[in-house]
Amino acid sequence: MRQREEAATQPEDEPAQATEGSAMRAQWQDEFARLARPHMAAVLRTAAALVGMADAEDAAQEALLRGMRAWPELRDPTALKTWLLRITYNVCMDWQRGRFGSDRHRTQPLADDAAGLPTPLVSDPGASDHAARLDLRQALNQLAPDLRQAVLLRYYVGLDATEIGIAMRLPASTVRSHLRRARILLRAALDIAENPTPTLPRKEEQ
Amino acid sequence: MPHEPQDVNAAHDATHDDQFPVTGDPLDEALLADAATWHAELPSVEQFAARMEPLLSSATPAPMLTPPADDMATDIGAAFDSAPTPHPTAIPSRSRRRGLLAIAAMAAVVALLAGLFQFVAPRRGLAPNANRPTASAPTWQSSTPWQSSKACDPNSYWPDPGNNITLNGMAMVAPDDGWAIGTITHYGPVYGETVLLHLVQGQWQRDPLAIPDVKLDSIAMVSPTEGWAAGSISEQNRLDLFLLHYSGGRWTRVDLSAVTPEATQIEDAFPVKVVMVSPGNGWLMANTTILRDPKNPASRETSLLLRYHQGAWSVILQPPVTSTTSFWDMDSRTPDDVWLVGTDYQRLTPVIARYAFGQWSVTTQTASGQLESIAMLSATEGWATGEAYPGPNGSESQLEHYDGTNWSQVSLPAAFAAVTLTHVFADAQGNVWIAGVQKTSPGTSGRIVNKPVILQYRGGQWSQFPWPYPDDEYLRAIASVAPGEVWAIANIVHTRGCAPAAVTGLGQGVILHYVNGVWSQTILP
Repeated sequence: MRQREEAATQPEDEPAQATEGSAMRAQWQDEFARLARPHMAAVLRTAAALVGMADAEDAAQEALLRGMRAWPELRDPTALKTWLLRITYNVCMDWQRGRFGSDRHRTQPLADDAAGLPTPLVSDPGASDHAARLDLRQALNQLAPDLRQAVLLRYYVGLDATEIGIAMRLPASTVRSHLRRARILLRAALDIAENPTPTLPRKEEQ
Repeated sequence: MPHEPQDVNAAHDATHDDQFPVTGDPLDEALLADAATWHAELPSVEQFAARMEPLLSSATPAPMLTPPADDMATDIGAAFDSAPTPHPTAIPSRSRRRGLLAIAAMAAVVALLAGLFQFVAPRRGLAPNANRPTASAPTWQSSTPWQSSKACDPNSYWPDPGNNITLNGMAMVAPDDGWAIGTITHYGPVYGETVLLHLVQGQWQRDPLAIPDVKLDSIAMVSPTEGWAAGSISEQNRLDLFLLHYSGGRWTRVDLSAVTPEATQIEDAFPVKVVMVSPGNGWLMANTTILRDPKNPASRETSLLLRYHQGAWSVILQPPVTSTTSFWDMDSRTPDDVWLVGTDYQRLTPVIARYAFGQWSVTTQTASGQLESIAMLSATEGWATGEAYPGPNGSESQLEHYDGTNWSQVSLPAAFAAVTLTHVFADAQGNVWIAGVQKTSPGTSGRIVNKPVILQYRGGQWSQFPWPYPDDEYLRAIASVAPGEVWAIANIVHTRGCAPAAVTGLGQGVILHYVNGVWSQTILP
């Protein structure tokens, strides 16, 4: 039995019959590295949107390494981006739950300071642009998590509703309704009037 | 390639997937401008790619990749040849690294720690698997300091494969009968898989129920023959509430479609919690996104509380909290009274909600912070842990106590001031426990070390409970089953590699047993 053999060998030993498998895996690994490169920006930005700037690289790294290990199960370049985004979302949810018990629970508002900590009070007197940006981010942080995520993934990460839906396990239509709802709330919070001369015909009542 | 937000032509296309952003709309302009600022604040993609390159390159020498799970399905009976285990099903597991080296190394670590904690090697009667080979090399055994980045061993980038079982909950019904539950965390996009482990006749066995795409978060047993386990399931591109009932020796899924509102979507960042007060009474809590009336934005609900009463689950009207409030935990000791703790993220303040005798009362605390865990000892006493934000850069743990009238802050002894408190538990014996983590700074090795810390409340005082296991093992539940006897579950999560590119593995669930002053550990296969 293979398992009994393994029990007797050193952990580092590689059975001879796996050498060919190793070559195959090395090929898959390089294939993944090449194919994943164009998607690293999306993975990194998604991670930043979901776990914050301070943890973004670690979470993105985790997502890519998980992807590399699972790549043999997929091996479809056309599906790779959304597949990676779903893995990134999983990693970020684990992060928020507290990473297997290693950390506190956390949901990550859009950080407006370098430490990445939530800052509910606008304390920086800064320039008006800076203040306006803080107001917008504060308003974003006041959204319910799913609405905020939809806005961040759409406007900040640049994913479309279908991609967001795949990452968040939602129908694209739900993503769009989240975006509509979020924009209503943001307008109200920021006291921004609707554009009096919209460039698109209004599709439905908002 | 998806279109970028600045692609105005796409935005004008009525048949395009997305209506936003709208050119000239002030809100969209503001969002896009802020997005540009945000991009500038992001870590550089080029630098990130450079960091990833050695990790992804096959030219970097590394142990062989873990093959897909299919290749590794084995009969658990074959894994333990020392004791016949009538096990009904195969458990897919990752590659195992058992061997004399692993056992010897483990023994060395045990011996090393013996001096510190008067630790005695596990005796057969107490540690069911002590005489079995460990399922994988316990990589935490190495106590050599990590080398600096330049000299770092590239092999150390690879987390050793564990069982990838994440244990989330435990319920003991007797000193020798209990359950541990959780999920399997996959490398790929799979959501999870049911993991139910049962202690029977001194051995932990995996229950044959193996439903894919499920995360089990919580378990409550009302007797050795009945219980409930709750979590979430990813199906049909949505996340649903998932509930199991144990009866007649089997776990079966409970159909909640007639109970929960249509289009209830579970928020997967928040665990689902089930608590049973008696065989006929219990509670279940989840965070959700429900818009009860699509035409009425105010009908939005974000938390779901179910009550088990007179043989059926039913929905309780949600607490009167803002839609930006999320509940992290729930506990109850009486059929008519349940407590929820969480955070109002709009104000970033802790929220305590109580449903008692049909009425909600909500307390929003003024100091900035959040509450994440609650354990009630009775209707008139309980504890909660969380985080406080005393200043713009500050974040510290907080502990609160309920005395029957008010929740108030409690200070831990100074020795524990730097401990990150992750969970608080109260067991059937009336003991109160806190699981925490002491983080140490990277130092010259570049590796952040996380040391588990267990606190126990006895005789009106908090003190540290012995915990002999090395770093990166995180306590997830603990309960005393008899005087001096304790069961616990934990997850070993290896952080390996060299700063700044440390890699976190998926972890390894472990079950721990403390009796007669001695801890022993079962690393799950």
